[in-house]
Amino acid sequence: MAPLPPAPELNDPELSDAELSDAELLRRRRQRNIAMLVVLLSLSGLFFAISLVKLSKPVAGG
Amino acid sequence: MNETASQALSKMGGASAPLLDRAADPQAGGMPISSVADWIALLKPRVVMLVVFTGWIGMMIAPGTLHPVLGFTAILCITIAAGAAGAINMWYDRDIDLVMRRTRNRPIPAGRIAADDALTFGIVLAVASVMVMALATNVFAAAVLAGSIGFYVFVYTMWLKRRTAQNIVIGGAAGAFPPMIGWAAVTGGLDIMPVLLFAIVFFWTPPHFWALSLWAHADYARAGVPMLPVVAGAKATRRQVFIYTLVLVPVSLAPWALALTGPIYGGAALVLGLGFIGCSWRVLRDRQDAAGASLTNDAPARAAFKFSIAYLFILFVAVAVDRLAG
Repeated sequence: MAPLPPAPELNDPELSDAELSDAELLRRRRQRNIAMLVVLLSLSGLFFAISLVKLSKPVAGG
Repeated sequence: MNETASQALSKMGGASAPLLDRAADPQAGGMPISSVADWIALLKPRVVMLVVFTGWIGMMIAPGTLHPVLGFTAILCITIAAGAAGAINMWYDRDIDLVMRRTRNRPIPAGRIAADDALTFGIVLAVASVMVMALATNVFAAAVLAGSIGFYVFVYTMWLKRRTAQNIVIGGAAGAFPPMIGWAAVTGGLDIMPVLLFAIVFFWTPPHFWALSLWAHADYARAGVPMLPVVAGAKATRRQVFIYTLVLVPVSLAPWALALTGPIYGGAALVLGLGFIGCSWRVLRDRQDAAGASLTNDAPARAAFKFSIAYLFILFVAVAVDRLAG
C-alpha cells in the first residue's frame, strides 16, 4: 500500500491563502481580533494606572 | 538562484502581487491570512530582547527612583519602539528579504502581511511609544527614544545598510541607545555612565555582527548588501573583528577606571574582555585558505558570536550587581 501524502499543517506559514481552509482563515481572524481586544484593554489599564500614579504625586506649592 | 534584490522586487510586484493585495484588502476577493504570530514576528522579538535588557539595566543603575508602573511603562515603550523600528526596517528591506534564504519567510516577503500594512503598523507603534514615554516619564527620554528610532530607520536602514561596508559600525549606535533611554527615563538627563554603556554596546556590535557575517555572508552577497566579508573579504573581516574587540575591552573597563563602578564590575569586565580577545584571536588565526575563507567551517567565528552574546549579557548584569552591592 502506498504511503499517504502528508496532511497539510493548519499553521504552516508556507501555505498561501488559497490553500488555507475557511476554518483556518476564520480562526486566524478571530485570533487577531482577540489579540487586538487584549491590547486595547491592556492599554486602557496602563493609562488608568499612569493617571493614578501621576495624580497621586504631590503638586509643588499646592 | 542568483537574482538581485531589484529583480526580486519586480517579481514581488508580478507573480506575488495578487496575493499581497488580497492579504491587504479582504474585500478584494480574499481574506487576510496573517496570524497574530506574523505581526509579532514583524517586531523582531529576538532583537528586541537585547534592547529591553540593556534599557532595563540603564534604568536600574540610574540614580533616583521611578514608580514601578512608570518604570514598566518606560520598558514597554522601549520594547514597542524597538519593535516598531524593526517593522519599518522589514517594510523597507522587503526586496532583499525576499532574496535572502534566512529572511524570505518573513511575513512581508512571504505575502502574509501587505507591505503598506507593515509600514502603518510600524509608524503607529513608533509614534505611540514616544508619546506614552513622554507622558509616563519625561520629554527628554521620549526625545532620545524618538532619536533611536529615527537613527535605526533613516541612518542605518535607508542610508547606510546598502551603501557601505561600515553599515553596522555606525548603524550599531541604534542598538546602543536603550541604556541611555532607561537612564533618561529615571533622571530626565544623561551622564557619563549611560554614555559609556552606549559606547560599550557600540563597540561590541561590530565584532558580534561580523563574526556572524563570516559564515552567513552568502545571503548578503546574493542580496547585494555590502557586508564587510562580501566587500573586503574574510581576511579583512577577521582583522576588524580582532581590532574592534581590542578597542571594546578598554572601553568596557572605563566605568571602573573612572570609579563609576566597583571591583565586581571591574573584575567581570576584565575577565570577560580577556575571554573575548581570546575568541577574536582564534577567529583571526583560524585555518583558512589564501582568500581567508575558513577551513574549519568557521568554528572560531561561531564560538566568538556565541561568546559575544554571553559577554554583553554578563557585563550588564555585572553593572547592576555592582551598583546593588555598592
